Amino acid sequence: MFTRRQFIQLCLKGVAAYSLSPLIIPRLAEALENLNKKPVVLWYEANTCAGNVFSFLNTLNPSLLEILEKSIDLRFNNTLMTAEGEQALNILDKTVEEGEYILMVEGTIPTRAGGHYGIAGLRGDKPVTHVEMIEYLGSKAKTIMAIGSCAAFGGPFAAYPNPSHSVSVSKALGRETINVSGCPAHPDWIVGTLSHVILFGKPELGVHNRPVLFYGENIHHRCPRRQMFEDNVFAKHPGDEGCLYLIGCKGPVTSSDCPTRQWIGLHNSWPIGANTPCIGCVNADFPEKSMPFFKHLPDINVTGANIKARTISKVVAGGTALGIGIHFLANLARGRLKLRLKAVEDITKKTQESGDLEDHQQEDDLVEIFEELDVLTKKEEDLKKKLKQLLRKRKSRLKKAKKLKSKSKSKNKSKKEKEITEDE
Amino acid sequence: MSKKISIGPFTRINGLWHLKVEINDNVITDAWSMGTNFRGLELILKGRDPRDAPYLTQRICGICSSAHALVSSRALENAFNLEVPRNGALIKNLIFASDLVQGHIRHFYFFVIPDYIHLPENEPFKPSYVFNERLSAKGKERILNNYRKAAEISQSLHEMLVIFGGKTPHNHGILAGGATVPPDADKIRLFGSMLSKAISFIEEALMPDTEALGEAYTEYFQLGEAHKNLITFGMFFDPDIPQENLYPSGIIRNGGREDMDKDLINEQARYSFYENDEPLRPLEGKTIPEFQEGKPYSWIKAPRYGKDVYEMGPLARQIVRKKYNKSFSAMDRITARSLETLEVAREMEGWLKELEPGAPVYTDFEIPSSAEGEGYLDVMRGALQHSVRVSNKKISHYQIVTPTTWNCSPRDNEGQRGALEEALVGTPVEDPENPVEIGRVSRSLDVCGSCAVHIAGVKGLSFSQKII
Repeated sequence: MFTRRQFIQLCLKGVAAYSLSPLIIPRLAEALENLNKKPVVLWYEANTCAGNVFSFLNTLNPSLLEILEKSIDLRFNNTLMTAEGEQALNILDKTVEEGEYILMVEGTIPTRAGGHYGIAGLRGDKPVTHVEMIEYLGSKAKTIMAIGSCAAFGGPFAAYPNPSHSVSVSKALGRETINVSGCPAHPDWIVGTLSHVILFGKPELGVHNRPVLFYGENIHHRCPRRQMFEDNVFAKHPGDEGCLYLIGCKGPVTSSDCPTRQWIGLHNSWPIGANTPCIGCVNADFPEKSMPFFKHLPDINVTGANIKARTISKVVAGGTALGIGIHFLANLARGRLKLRLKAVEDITKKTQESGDLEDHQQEDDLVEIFEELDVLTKKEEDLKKKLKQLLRKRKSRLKKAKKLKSKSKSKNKSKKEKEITEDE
Repeated sequence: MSKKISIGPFTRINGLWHLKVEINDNVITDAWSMGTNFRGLELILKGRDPRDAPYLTQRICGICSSAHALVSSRALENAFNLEVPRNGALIKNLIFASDLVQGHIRHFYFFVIPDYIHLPENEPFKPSYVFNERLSAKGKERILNNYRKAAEISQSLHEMLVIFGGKTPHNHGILAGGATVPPDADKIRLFGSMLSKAISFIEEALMPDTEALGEAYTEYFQLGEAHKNLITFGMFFDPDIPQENLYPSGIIRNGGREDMDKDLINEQARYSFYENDEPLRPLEGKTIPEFQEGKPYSWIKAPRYGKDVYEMGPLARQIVRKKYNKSFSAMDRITARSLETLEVAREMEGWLKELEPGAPVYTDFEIPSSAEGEGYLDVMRGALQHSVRVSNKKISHYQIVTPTTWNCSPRDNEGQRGALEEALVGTPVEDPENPVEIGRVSRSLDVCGSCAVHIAGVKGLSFSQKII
């Protein structure tokens, strides 16, 4: 038997070494020998693309069959199970009767028309909806794991206008779930979280009830292309090598271990490695707040590099000479913006921590701040125009001055210019 | 003696599906195929940036995600008049083909095999129906051994997909305009080495196992015939001719091959949960009827070619391309699928060699303020169609018709059964308590419940606000 601390180290080590580490399975098997029986697991597919079950099939170390043979008693899994129809429903009945099982759910729960937008099975002629089934299965589950962003948060099919009125599992049940989000979730996140649940119970959960172990770190912080961001090396279109920030990368507002873990078992690549932006698929507001996928974030979301990114985009768009001017102005504005930025950061942090996106007070605050920022941005633009005008004026005045050969006059003018900029 | 059996959930497919059959004197006399999970992605796409469609439409399906990316990108390329660079087309083909081979292998071993062989009594492999096994002990052992290998090989096919796709399911590498990962020697070598292992597996395991199954269950070369009408849109990007498919399109009707006329494709909704005269409006707030005759029973519509029921998939492609010429039965479908797996895997080797390191993979473009385009392409399970209309640089209309809506459709307005329903009729069921024959016939059509349910409109009509 190994300790929780050792387990966590293994999961983290796995990143550098090899997948979720072949070390886990022998130890897991060893640990499970001390239990009287393999833990009972139900994998339930609600209204889903089944992408997470295929991600689960893609687990490499440990492999799928190792897990099935050595670690868990996976009684129900629509994709693999031999039973169908009544036999399959009987398995569920028997397991619910026994209780004490781990329920893994993927997919959203459609609630429209009394749940009839999603049918789980047929009891005789009578359709059973996902709403009914999830309540039934959830009632006796020891632990509920929501696998993938649909089950965890609603996901793509709950995006506007949410035609099936789909909700997350925790919302459907009014009960906390361990959220293993992602579209789909990485096989290591699924297997790693499951292993933790079996061996040590609930893992430490962070923002939005996701295991800190896998969702604890910001993608932008660990991104292999971070230096390109710092050095202003930006991709101009998908397929271009460089930082993908300007073509929509949501890494700065997304937390997962993708940059270090990579996909799948062989750690070949990941979306940014494929020269495409991260679309923030693990986020609670995916895909709504990630779309358009190829449009860059409002600069405010990039902690510590807010002005920079905006400046950069303009440099890229507007040519160097103008860019330098803006840079100068941006530096002036930064002092003033700084306080407001701090406030936004605090509120965003609070919102994330409380996990409550529907807190209207905070939202209103954010809206207010964003409005204020817009005003400041506009001022920045105005300043830019003024600077241009001033430069033009100065140029013509310098010409005049040259003609008049009067030194004192030109000195006054530059003083005046300085005063105006400082005022702003 | 008449008996009705409901099978819900109909497991070992992708996503959820439900079936109902009527058995008289141990023969199936009627069947109902039900897609009952509605998500409405087309509605969600409305008003979005068209470039997002290849990513968002992939979320329809976990097992064939790259297929939606591919056809969605084709529809946009058609709308924006883009030419995909040769390298880009090849990489798109490679990503999609790895997914196809992965899907076919998983389908054969994970979905089909348990209908013929009892797997070891290990959860989730129990209980299962009781039936007599016909394969020899040795043959069975080999197939069970290959079941294990199939798990590894299909996993490594997804690893291959990741090389050019970044992640899977729902890869990032297929976009309108081309691919995003420039090939280099390292990637080509890694891809190639995993591909050669997959090819050996197909040659040494999948093909002999398919043959063994066919030899042991010869009656399935007669059972499970549907309407004997086949259709294919053609498959893979032609790297040399932009917006053309590498494999030809075509139909098989009355035993003869004809050209396909896409204008004949239509959708009917009398037996679907949509109001009949206004076929775009989902029925709201009413309880789902419990299989009364003449009442709607599915969320999917009935796509038809002209007035007739057509089926699609590997069998249709193989027969249209004159690679296979036997019959239209359940076992023919399974055999054609395995043959295609081998052919595609070998084709991939060729594409890999044609990749040119350093040459472009992607064409950048500006979204025009308005455009209209269509993508018609065969994917794993058959012909997939995406249509897009762009106004003010936003998607104003999106329509998807997937293979499973064709193959597993409910009855049409004329009351004709869908292909799966028709295939089931006439199938003998030895023991109605253990109706394993239903699965043997149905799974040959490779049902995909995730893909099926879409509220695609009848041609020419667009979605309106009344849907909500």
